[in-house]
Amino acid sequence: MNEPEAKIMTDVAGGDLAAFRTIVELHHKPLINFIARFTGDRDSAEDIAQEVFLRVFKVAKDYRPQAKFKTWLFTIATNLCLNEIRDSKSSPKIVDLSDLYEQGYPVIAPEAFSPQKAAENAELSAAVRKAIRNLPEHQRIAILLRQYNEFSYNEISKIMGITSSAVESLIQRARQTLKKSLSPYL
Amino acid sequence: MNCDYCKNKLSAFIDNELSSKERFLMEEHLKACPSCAREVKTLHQLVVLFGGIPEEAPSPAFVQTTVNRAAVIPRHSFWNKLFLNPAISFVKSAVAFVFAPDGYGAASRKNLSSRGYLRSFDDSPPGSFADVYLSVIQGGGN
Repeated sequence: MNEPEAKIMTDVAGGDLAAFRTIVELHHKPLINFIARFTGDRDSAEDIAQEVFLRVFKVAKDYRPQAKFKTWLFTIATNLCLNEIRDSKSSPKIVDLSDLYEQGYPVIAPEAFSPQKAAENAELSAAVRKAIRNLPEHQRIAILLRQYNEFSYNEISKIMGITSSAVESLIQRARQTLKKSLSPYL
Repeated sequence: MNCDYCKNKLSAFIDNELSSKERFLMEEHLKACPSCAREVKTLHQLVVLFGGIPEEAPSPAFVQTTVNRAAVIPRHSFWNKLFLNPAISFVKSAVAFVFAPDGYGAASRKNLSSRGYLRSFDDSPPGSFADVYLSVIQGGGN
């Protein structure tokens, strides 16, 4: 595996904070979004993402470049997310765009801003987030890793510690459920 | 390829995860089956719908606070780890006890030996656990 992270991780293993910063800068955005979509809680997503990166820093010596760095990173994140969900007995909070605006977080809009468009986007975002949040944990992880992080079924199987055919089944079932819950928007 | 099999494989199809042979069979089936073709279209719409959801921007301080937290994590050198490891500390103590020439180890060994603790089970006092145990395994129990 000849990816830039392999060299950077060698430096991180030696305690190089600049190298660690590079890793965080490269991966924090997709990681935070993955965790936020999984937990449904924007604030705890940053806390969990920080724990993921600190774990990377602590165990950098254990990283083997044979494994794709992103796969390794998301394996740690997935485990921490599952722990978080099991630790917090309460159901995760719904986060929609209006919540984020109120909390003062900027939201990246793909198109030019217009109030009507923003309202439609907010409603759609809330509906999709709610539909994702209602999926069983393992279906949620599998569909998020595929849909937003573009992992292959084989990579997802490594992250989740299951077979590729089990991943295929999880994604298939997740999409069937999402199709039903989002039918007004399809 | 029948509809049931096809419908179970549709997600893998739109994710481009089928083998070339399976993909060919799927495409042939979709040409002939409007129901499965509609299902593929719906799943594609779902993928597009998901793709249109805006990403959340991390807080601007995230990178710096993460690096700051990493900076205060104690990082032990090899020698520190060697001395802090409980298993290694135990081995060091055991080695010191056994091989110390004139110190605690030698004195203790002598002391224990003189009190008979290091001889054998045969010397165990009557009624002690070792005595009862020996009588049981030798067939002389009560």
